[in-house]
Amino acid sequence: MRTVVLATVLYALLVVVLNPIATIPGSEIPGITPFFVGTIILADITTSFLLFVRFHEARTWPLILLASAYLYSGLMAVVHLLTFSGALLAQRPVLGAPPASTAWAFVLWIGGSAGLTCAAMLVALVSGDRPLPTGRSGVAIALAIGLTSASVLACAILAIQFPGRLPPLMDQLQWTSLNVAINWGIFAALCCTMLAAMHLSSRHGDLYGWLCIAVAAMMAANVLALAGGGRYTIGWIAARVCWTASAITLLLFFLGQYARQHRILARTNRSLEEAVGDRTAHLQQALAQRDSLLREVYHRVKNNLQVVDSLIALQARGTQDGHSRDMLSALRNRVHALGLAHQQLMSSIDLQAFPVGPFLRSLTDDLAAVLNDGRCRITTSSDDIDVDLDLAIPLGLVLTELVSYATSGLESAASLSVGFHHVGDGMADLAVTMPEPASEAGHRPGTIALDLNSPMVAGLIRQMDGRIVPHRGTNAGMTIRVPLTRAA
Amino acid sequence: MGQLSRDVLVVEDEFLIADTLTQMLTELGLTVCGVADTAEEAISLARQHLPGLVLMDVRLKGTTDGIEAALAIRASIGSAIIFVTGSQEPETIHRMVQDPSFSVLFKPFRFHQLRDAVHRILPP
Repeated sequence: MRTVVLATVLYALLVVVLNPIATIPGSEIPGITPFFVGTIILADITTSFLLFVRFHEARTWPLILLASAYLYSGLMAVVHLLTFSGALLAQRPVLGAPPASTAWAFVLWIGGSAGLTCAAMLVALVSGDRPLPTGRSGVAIALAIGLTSASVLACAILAIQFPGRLPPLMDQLQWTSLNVAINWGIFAALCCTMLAAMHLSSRHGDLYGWLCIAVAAMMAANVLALAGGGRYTIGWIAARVCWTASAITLLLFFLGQYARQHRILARTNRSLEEAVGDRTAHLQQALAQRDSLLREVYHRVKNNLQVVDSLIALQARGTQDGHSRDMLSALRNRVHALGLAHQQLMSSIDLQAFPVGPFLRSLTDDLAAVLNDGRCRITTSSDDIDVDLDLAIPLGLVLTELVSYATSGLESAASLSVGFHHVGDGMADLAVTMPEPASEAGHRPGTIALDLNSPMVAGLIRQMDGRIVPHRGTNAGMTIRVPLTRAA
Repeated sequence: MGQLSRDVLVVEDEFLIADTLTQMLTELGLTVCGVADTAEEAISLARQHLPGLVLMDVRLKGTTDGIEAALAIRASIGSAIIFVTGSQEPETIHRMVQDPSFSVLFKPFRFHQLRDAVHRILPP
């Protein structure tokens, strides 16, 4: 409000200072008109666009009327430019018959613009910021642009085609009394607009405050134009400057808003980046803590498995019965398979999954060393497949059982092959193959598990959502197909 | 440094694991000169018995861990060290291999793995 009052006082002072010398003729410079009017056209149409954008968000009647007022002013300024003698072409206008067309185009421009602005403020006083129904803003904008353009066209036709039927506004280069009366009428409308905008600025913010400044400039322009009494006087030139200042006032407001919003956006962006950075650091710290805890848990699991292995070893040492010792030895193999899975997982980067190849190789190497008095040789091959603990443990246990069973009872050195390979559709086959033909090995072709008839193996296969599939080749063996990713 | 024996010192704070290690070493024909469950006790026994090999757990009772004890024994007595541990954290592994003469055997281990590791240092 302070800025509004200050600007209004400054414009009033300008009027007071220039009023005594307003009638002094200045140089007749036709080029001055395109400069001022061109600036006004650019500023008014840009401001109109920005007001329509604002209306699209807020959808209030005053905004669409104000946007229409600025659009009207910008378009009528074009008409004024085309009808002003010497503005674009030497000694004559582009359209119409000077000076009547020029004067009427100008009066209709200033008068229409002031009228629409006044109407916008009166509607704002009556309706406040009540929005239009949702979804109507696009139609309303199109309608406003259409009606405004039609009004401008009507005014242009009236000023250009029928200047002779209209009362004169100019007498040589001097205003007629009608012209003066119209201008005072416009001044009165601007006074109303000013009061309404001042009232609204206290409730509805900056836009109305800046509009007050624009209206103050327009009022000063009207008074100076009247005081000048004709074209190219000091008052006339000062009025052009004031009209131009009025036109760019709201544009400056929007530019200021853009700059302020840009600053806020940059500040928000910075604070968001800092917040994201802090959050990321916090999450990384939490993740590191989780990994540390998980490694601690796996460490304890492995240590406890070693304790369990030691307990079984202790028990085995005190057992004289050969069958019982074999059973305890098989139990140690299973415990060791569990330990190996945890060992592989601890070596992995994400503590979630690990490559199956090294796991299977370690397992079969250990089995080869302990089974059949170390006379067993196991060849292992696998695709590049990562497995998690949920798959690795049953897989390792099943493999331990199959290899143990396949080598049990063999008198001579035995060679087995173990493979774990993709078969498509997210499935992989675990195949254990004996080198001897099935009949010589004492197994039915394609079956170890059926002969094995182990509820544990069957249960582990079911746990993996796997199934036994026909074993390829003529040698004894068994193939188990398992999904690599299972439904939770 | 005095003349080292072919005896083995077991440093492990889990009784059952220490017992299993002792049993396995005995099966390999070696003599276990002592079992310690703290770093201080390990250093003391090592100075007393001058073992050729120390099987050392990393996490021990007390504030000093097995790696510090191993470094102290290696520096003062010169015994070979095999870490027998479940620890696989990168920092721990980095500390365990800082002396290239140190070996590592991860738990759970099998007899043949211990045998191979021990025979590399104390050939049969």
